[in-house]
Amino acid sequence: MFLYTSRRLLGMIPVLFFIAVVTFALMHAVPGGPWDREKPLPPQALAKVEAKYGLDKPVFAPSWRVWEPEFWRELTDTQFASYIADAVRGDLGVSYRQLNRPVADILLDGIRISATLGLMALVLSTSAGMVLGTLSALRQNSWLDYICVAFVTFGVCVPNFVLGLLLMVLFTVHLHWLPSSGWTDPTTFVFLSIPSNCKQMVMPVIALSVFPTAYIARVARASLLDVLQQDYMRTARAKGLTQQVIVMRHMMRNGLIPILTVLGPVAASLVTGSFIIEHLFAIPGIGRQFVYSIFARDYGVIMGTTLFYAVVVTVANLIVDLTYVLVDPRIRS
Amino acid sequence: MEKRGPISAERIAGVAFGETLPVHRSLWIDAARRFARNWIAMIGLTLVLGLIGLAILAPVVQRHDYRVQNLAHTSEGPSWTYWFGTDQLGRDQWSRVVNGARISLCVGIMSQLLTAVIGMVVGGLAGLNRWMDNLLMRFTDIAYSFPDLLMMILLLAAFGSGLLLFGSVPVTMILAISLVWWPTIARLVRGQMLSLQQRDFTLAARATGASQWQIVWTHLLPNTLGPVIVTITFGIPRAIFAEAALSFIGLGIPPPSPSWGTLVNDGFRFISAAPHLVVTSTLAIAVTMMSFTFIGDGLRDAFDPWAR
Repeated sequence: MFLYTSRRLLGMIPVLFFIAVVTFALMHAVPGGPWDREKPLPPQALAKVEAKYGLDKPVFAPSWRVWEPEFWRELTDTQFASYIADAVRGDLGVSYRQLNRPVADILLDGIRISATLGLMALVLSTSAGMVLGTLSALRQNSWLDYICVAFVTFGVCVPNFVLGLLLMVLFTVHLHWLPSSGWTDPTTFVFLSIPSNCKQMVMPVIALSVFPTAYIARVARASLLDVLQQDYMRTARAKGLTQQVIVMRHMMRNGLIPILTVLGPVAASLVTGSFIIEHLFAIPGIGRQFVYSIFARDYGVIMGTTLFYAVVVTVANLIVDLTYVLVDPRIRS
Repeated sequence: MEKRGPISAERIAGVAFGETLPVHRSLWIDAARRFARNWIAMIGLTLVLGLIGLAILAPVVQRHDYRVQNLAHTSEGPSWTYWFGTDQLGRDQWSRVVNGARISLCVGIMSQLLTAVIGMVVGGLAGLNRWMDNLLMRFTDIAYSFPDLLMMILLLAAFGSGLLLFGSVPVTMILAISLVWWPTIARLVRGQMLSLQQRDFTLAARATGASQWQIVWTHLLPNTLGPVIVTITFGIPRAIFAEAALSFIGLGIPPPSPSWGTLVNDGFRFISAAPHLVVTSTLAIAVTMMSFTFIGDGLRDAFDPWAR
C-alpha cells in the first residue's frame, strides 16, 4: 500500500513536468504579451520591463543547434528553466498585471473562494443525492421513486451554466429576490463567509450542485437496489431483524461503497471551482483568475493555476484508486 | 456469440413440434431491437433527427435572414412574427438559434468522430502490440491528466477560433476538443482489445488458423465498436457544452456567426432587458444535450443489457 502510493506520487512528477512544458509552450504561442496596452509602451521601456522579468531570455532553448557546447551551457538560462527552478523551491513568481503580487497569494485568494463554494455544493449534493437515492431504492416503483428517477434523468444532462442562467432570469430579473453577482469579504474562509455572502451563494451553489446530486442519487439507487437482491439481505430478514437494523447495518454499509468512489472526482471538480459558474456570477475564484490571466497574458498566473488544477486532478485520481483498494480487498494484490 | 433466452415451456413445446429454434441474430440487430424498444431513447432520437433536420434546412425554416438587423424591432419578446423574439439589434432570434444549430451540432458530432478516430488508432495499436503499448500508453496517461477545459482554453487562445470552414465548421474548436479528449477513447479501446484477446472466441479463431488481421477485423474491431459508439454519443453533448462554455467566456466562435455559446454570451449582456434571448438559447443547448444523453443511455443498455 505504502509502496503503491509512493510509486504513484513519484509518477506524478513527469506528468506535471510534461503539463508544465505544454502549458508554457501554448501560453507563449498566444499572440501578444503582458504589456500590450491601447497605447503601446515605448520600445526602450518595453525592453527594460522585459529584461526585469527575464522575458528577454529564450523560452525553451537558445537555438536549434544542439551540437554546440553553448547550447547546453545556455539551456539553464531560459525562461522555462528558471521558472521550473523557482517553482521547485516553492516560488511561483509574481503577477505582471496585478502590481507584482505573488502568484501564490493570488492562487490562495482564488482557492479560498472556489473551495468555499465547492465545499457547500459538495455537502449539499452528497447529502441530497444519498437521501434521494436511498428513498427511491427503498420505495422502488412508487411515485417517490418516479419523481427521483425523473429528477436524475434531467439533472445529469442539464449543464450547470444553463441552469445558472435560468435561475438568474427567474430570481434576479423577474422576482428581484437574489443578487446576480458579487462576492463580499473574500478573505474569510468556508463557513465563516456564509453570513456576508448568503444571498450571493444561493444560485451558484444550486447551479453547481444539481449535476452531482443527480449523479450521486443515480449511483446510490442502483447500488442499493443491487444490495437489496443479495442473499444476506434475505438472511437478515429471515433472522427477524428490524427494518431499521437491516437498512443501517446491511444495506447502507454495503450499498454506499460505490458512492465513495465517485465522490473523489466530484469533490475535485467542485472544490477547484467551475470557471464558467464563476464567470457567470462574477465570483473572483480561481477559475475566473485563470480566464482573466489568459486574456491578460499574465504568464505566472496561467502557469500557477494550470499546475494547481493538474495537481488536484492527479491527486483526486490517486485517492479514487486508493479508495478502491481500501474498500475492495480483492484488488490489493 | 449466440445468446438464447430462458428455456420456457412454449419453446420446449415448439422444439418438440418441429419448430425451428430462433434464427441466429447478430450483435448489431439485437442491439438495434433493444434500442427500438427503449422509448426514452426513441424520444431522444426523434429530437436529434428533428434538430439535424432544422440545422440542414436552416435557410428554409428561418423566418428572417439571421444577419439582417431591424432597428425598429429591438429586444422584442416572442411574437407571431418573431417566434423567439429579437435581439438588441433587431435580429430574429429563431433564425439565429436555427442557424446556430449548424455550428453547435457540427462541433458536437465532428469533434467526437475525430476523437474516436485518434483514440481508436492509438488504443488499437497499444492493445495489439506490446512494444507500442509501453510507448503510447505512457503518453496517453500523461495526456489523460491534462485539465480538459483549461487545455482547450489555452489551445484556442494560442491558435484562435475564428476559422469557420463552409460557414459552419469551426476547425480549431473541433481540433481543440479532440486533442484533449482522445485519451478516454484510447484507454477504452486498449482495455477492450486486451480483454477480447483473452476471450474464448479469439482463442478459437486463432486455433483454427485465422490470421491476426482476420481476428482483428472480424472479432476485435466489431466488439470494440459498441462501447466506442456509446462513449462518443455521450461525448457529443459534452462537446456541445464545451463549445457553449468556451464561446460564453469569449474564446469560442466570434460574434457574427451565431453558435449557441455566442448567442448565450450575447443574451447574457442584455439579460435584464431581454431575458428571452438567454432563455431560448440555453433551452436549445439543454434540449440538445438531453436528447443525445437519452440516446447514449439507450445505446449503452442496448449494447450491454446486463450492465446496470
